[in-house]
Amino acid sequence: MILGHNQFIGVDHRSEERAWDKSVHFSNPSRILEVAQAASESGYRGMVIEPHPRMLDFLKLYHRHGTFKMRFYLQVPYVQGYVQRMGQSGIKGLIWDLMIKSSPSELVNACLRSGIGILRNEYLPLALSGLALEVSHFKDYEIESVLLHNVATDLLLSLGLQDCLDDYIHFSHDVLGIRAGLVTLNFPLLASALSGKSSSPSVIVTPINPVGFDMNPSKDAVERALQEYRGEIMAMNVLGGGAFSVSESASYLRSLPRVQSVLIGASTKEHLVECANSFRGES
Amino acid sequence: MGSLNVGIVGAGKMGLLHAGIFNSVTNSRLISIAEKGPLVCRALRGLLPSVRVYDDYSEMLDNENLDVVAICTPVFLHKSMVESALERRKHVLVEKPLAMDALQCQSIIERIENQKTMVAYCRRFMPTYQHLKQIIDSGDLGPPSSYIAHLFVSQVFGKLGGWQYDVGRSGGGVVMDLGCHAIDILLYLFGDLVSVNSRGFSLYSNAVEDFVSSDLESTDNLRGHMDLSWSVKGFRLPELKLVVNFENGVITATEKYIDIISKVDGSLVSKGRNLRSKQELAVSVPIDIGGPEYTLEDVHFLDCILNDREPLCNFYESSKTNAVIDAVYSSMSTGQSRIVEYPRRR
Repeated sequence: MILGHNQFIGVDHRSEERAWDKSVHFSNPSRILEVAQAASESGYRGMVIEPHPRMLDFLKLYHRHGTFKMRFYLQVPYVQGYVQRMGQSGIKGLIWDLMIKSSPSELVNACLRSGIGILRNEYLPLALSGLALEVSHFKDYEIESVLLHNVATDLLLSLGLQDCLDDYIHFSHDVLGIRAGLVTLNFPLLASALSGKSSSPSVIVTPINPVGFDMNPSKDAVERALQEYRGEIMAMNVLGGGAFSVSESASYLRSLPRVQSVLIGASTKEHLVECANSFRGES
Repeated sequence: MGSLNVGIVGAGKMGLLHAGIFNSVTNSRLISIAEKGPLVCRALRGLLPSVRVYDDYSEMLDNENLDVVAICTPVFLHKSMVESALERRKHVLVEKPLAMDALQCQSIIERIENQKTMVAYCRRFMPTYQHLKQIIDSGDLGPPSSYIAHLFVSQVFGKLGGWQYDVGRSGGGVVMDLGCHAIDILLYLFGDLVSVNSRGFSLYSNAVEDFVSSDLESTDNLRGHMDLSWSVKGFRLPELKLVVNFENGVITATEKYIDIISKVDGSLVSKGRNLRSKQELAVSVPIDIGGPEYTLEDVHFLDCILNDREPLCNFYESSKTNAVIDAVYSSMSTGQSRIVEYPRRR
């Protein structure tokens, strides 16, 4: 069981009113800490975070608190924030934002890596340097895996840039010293792209639920690809933001062969426990 | 014509998204991209060796054997680019809105021969609004009697740079940028609007409006109200919320859910409350990059070309949105109700 983070940063798949309610509630990071602690006590072994300012505040509190242990899955890049920033002040504003938040040594490393890349007419190092700057803000925490956001994974896949995924996995392992994971809404396409590659992600995070929501190109195709894939799978969108019942989802997920972990975006202790019991088959 | 050759103009967020979709679905192939920015241009050449990258869109149109051109640039560039593509007999998809005003739309429409055209009004492909349209068309609840719509997002809370906030390049503020989605959906659901009475103001932006409120009247005397703003807190993502009153019920629809309260049993509704989420109504797509609606709109466009059908929001239909926007701005500046003057069909 892995605790999701959307509810903490004002994301809700049911309505903007609910999103706003949660956003206001969790604007106090100690409330995020309470839910994370409850999750830890209910047997959740990890938590997804992203470079959202609120998550950084929560991590500082978690560090000071120090009474429970969580392994963190860091999702990058911070797509929503970047899109907003680019809309407001363009790509220059975005790069400036990244730069001012970084230490001088991180900045020098990033500039060197990017500069050499540009001189060689290679632009992937530029993007990877941006990721490295993002990840550097989390160097004091136990990061289990760096998850590439589904928008990035799926855009690369759609453009036939599977080699870039390979480069990302190597970069994360060799330069950041953290295992790389991939989030996708197109699992069969990703699984097929990864077959025969020199590297594999530590985990693939993808929607799996009884109604087939966000399972592309079809629920059947995802189920077939799951049968064949040999790596670790983390299921997301398992409750459709509350649209599907916990027991129905749990029973469906338990019937699938290769799902090792389940991402749950719960906001209360009761919901955390209900999900934990259902998905472990204890209720 | 089994697989259509596609060229993209503009490699920003929407350009890359359409490039990825057209490169992935079975009926099309991404052939080329035109992008003015030198760094992006060089990066694309390095990353996509099988795609020809141009820094001049005219050169791309002249050199490539394209069936489809997708134009994903800021609106002030649309007219010349769309007309160039139409003159070369390409099928054209363009990001919203079609042009800066209805006059430009008229000029564009004059150049259409037999090509298929479409403006990427993605909300028409979202399952909740599609379901609302089905219920209206079914007549289950009787004819709509009135509606209230809002489209809000938390985006502008200070003076911002960028072309969207420069009236010379954007054509306006929140009405052009976001409101066009709301107006397009209202036209889709309720048919032509006859008149608008609008007022608005700027709180943060220098040159464009941040808040607009409009009373609207359709051809069959249906009346409604629409509020638009990009300066409302609590909307991380844009929300188009429609509350539609019927003789036999009321429906509330957003991007995420449709809530139907019905006094009667019908073909699509049951007596009582029917709350349906997008998760329940959504369909799988061949590939999902930024939302299934983008894939659905691109697949719809390709399908219309291959099967000689008219796309849902072709240029003529979409030019009506520009005509309503013109009337909104005219009403705001004069303080009077304005009749909507639609472009002529070619």
